[in-house]
Amino acid sequence: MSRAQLTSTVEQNTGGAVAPFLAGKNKIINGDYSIWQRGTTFSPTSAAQIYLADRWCIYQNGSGTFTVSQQAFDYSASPAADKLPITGYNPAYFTRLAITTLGTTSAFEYEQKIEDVKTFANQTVTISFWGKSPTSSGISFYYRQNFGSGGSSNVQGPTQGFTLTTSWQRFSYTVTLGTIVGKTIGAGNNLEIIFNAGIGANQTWDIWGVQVEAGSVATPFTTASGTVQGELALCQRYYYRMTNTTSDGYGVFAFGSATSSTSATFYITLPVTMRTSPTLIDTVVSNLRWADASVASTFTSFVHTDTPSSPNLIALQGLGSSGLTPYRPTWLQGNGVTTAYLGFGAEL
Amino acid sequence: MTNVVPFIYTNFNGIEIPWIEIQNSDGSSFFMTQKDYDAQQATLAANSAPTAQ
Repeated sequence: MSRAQLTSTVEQNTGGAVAPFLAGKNKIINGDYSIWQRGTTFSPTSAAQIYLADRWCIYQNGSGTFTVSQQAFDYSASPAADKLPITGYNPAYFTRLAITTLGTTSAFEYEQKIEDVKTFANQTVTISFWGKSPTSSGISFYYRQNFGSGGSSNVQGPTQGFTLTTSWQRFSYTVTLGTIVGKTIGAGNNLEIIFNAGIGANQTWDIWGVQVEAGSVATPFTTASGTVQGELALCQRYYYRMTNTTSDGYGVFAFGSATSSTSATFYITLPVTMRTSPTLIDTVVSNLRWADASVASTFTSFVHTDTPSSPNLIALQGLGSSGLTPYRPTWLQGNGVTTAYLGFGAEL
Repeated sequence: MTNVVPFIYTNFNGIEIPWIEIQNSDGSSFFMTQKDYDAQQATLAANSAPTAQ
């Protein structure tokens, strides 16, 4: 090995001459849990995929009740013991996963799906995170290459276990991902970075600062984008939520026109290009209403179609109302509910 | 507790598209096409259930 090669390798592995805060170094989006578009507390209760803080989801194998919540680091002079800051970093929030009731659940997967299964394929990567557990609960880590719809079978990597203690500790795991040579890659393919744990009642896990990077050393944590706005934009590629912004709960969400006496179409330009034309509409229907200059009422459901909707534009149709005047300009607004929202999903 | 409620939507071109509404107990709803819902269920099934460590 030449000296130049040796130097390069050493620098790569130690983060030496290479700045450790490069945007894009960390493939995990929202690894610092700064973005919570969907809310700050979630209570998954069934074996379904539930999205939490942006980009993060949980899947359990039974009927247990989890509480997944945003927790604020405490920077006061006498911080609460379970909310102590992490030395060297000044983040706002971490995620807490807690078991309320066990039901039939014996394990869960808490994960992020990184778009594109080609990410780091056949490369050595280091996965790192800070964790603690008031109940000293164990947790495991592995990756799964998901080749998407119609693609090759999933490839799951070896499992690495960690025992969390009652104070923040950084854990890391270096692994070489599988090759994708010879594989068939289908739509929605991704690389899953997964926390997994066998569970008992009253267990709790606190997690912050998840990072997946090339090389064999865990370098200092940085978010995927390095900026607040950049991180939000990265999240909005997969999920975008509009919320009411007025104190009376009648904030306007979109403009459009009535298409019949029972339906209206509204056009919404998305703030960033989404991964696909959104495949999911997330709302509380009764918290929104249509209105024109004369009358207003609620719908019973919302739909959109791929045409004319696109990754940049939603043509949202409200259905099942009455009293609309066909072709009259109409807007969509909150129904006097300050918590009204309208979300669009294009998750993996 | 969630309910899954199917409904048929006729799009701009007069084509009928099956949609579903997933109604959560907190009043929130998720709307998605039946096709997307089926694809997501298939993906969940394909990912082997979590194993205890």
